[in-house]
Amino acid sequence: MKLKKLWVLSIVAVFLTLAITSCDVLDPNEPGNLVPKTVDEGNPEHADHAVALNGSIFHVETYGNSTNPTIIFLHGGPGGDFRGHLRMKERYGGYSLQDEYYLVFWDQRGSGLSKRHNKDILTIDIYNEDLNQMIDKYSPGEPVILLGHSWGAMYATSYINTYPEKVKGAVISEAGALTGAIYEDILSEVFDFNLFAEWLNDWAWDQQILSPDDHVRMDYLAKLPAIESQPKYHEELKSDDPQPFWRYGAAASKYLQEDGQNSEGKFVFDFTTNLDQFTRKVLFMASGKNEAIGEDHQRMQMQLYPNAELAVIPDCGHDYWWTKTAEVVAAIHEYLDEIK
Amino acid sequence: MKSKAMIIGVFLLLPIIAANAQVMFPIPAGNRAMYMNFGLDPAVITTIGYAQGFGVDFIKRDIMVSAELAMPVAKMDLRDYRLKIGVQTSIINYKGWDFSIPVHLILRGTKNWMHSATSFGADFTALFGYYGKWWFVNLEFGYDLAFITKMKATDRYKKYYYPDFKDGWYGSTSHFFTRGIRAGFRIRRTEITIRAGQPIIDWTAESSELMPPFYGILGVNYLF
Repeated sequence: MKLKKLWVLSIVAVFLTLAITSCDVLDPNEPGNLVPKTVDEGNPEHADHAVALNGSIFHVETYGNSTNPTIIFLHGGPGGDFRGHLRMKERYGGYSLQDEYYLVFWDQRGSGLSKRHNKDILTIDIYNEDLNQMIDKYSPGEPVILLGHSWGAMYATSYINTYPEKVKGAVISEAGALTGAIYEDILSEVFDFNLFAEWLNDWAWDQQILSPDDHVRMDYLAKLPAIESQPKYHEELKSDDPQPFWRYGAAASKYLQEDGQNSEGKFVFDFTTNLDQFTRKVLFMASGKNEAIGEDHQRMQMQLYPNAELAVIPDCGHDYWWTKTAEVVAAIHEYLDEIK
Repeated sequence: MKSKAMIIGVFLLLPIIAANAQVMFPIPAGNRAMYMNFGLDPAVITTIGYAQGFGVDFIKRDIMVSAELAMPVAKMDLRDYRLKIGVQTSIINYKGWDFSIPVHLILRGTKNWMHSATSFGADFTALFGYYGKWWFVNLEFGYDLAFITKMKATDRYKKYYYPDFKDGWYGSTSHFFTRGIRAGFRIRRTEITIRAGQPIIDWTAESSELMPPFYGILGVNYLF
């Protein structure tokens, strides 16, 4: 009798499943379903912002007069995008960076709305060449000013270390680590790896429902830990005005980091080997509340540049380019006036 | 259509394929067991389950039917759950050596800051090992897949990040393999068991790995 019940239950289950599958079934890997389409996939709102460079297609937006000196923004991650930096183009206290500079925002290779790539062409050397060609396109023959935040500040340092002659100024905003040795030292401060942390368990649990074996699913799932995995950064990601993003480039994040590691998984990159050649003034920035890579950390890292000063923006966390944009722009404005 | 045919096939095959839903000695017809597990699979979870043995004349074997509920324990939320039902019997058994192919039907749910999801799936496991009088050890090679999943983005995700997220039923949202070991020993009516191994998304994929990269479960079974 009981075995007959099992058969009946199985048949009921079949009919239930047929009923469910008679609905339209979506493809989780289809661009646009879980995360926005990239510019090469035909994102309808950003189709005019596609720029082909160095064998890839980038999402680029420019503001201001192209005859002015060029500022190139470098967003965080690796894998983030520039959506959370767009407030930097607005006017605060009667001043906008657009008044004097040509602003270039772009999503780095494999990130945001730029084209996705696989592991073989997601390396720091190729990233440096991407930026090199971006500078040649938007500031031909003239050195630029780099404004890098978080990973973007590390990226700026890597570029300056390689091409010091093509940069006339830089804002290094709360850089994670300028060398692998420094990163190894702070890694436990950067992420909350408590086994019972809700973000870690939510992330792990979700992977049996949405496994990250395709770019789209990887990108979507990679954002799940972002809200709570770095509590010492004191970001306002649970507020009613969180820093937005388009798409987290999971492959870019993973492989850029792996490119900085040795075969044992230890971070060994060093973006400082040639920094003594860059004697122009650099502005370091830090947020007042960041306990992991805040003021103390930046004071230590600024020693790696021959000529650096530090500006601390009080009462904010790592997302201060979004939450305290007016104060950030004021500090950058003052620095830019100094290096004119 | 491909996923629909696969779903139908699995449900039709389920009652005639050997299956097992938990780590334990086979339960003879007429006996029952309650069990509880704790460990990492893939979150930190607790599991409670029930199993019962039946005699099935036409296959001349005992089968074990079981059901279990697993939930993450970090800030326990009733919307995060995994319900499994399965059956078990031995395909080949010779002097304590045993081979079986366990199958579960799985209903999974989750709710987090980005979405809620309800997912129907199954897992299939090849188990090969030895059962002594008081102990056993098995190697396991498994495959877990989510056939179809209903996903709905949270208002927060749509408002601040991606308003065009498509809510609805998604096909084939997850699949991964497992390889590991199961073992246990019995003291009177109580069994202590372990299950540990590694989940792998796709051996051929260059970019795919699950977090955490291993699972480990400690279990207690009580027979009655």
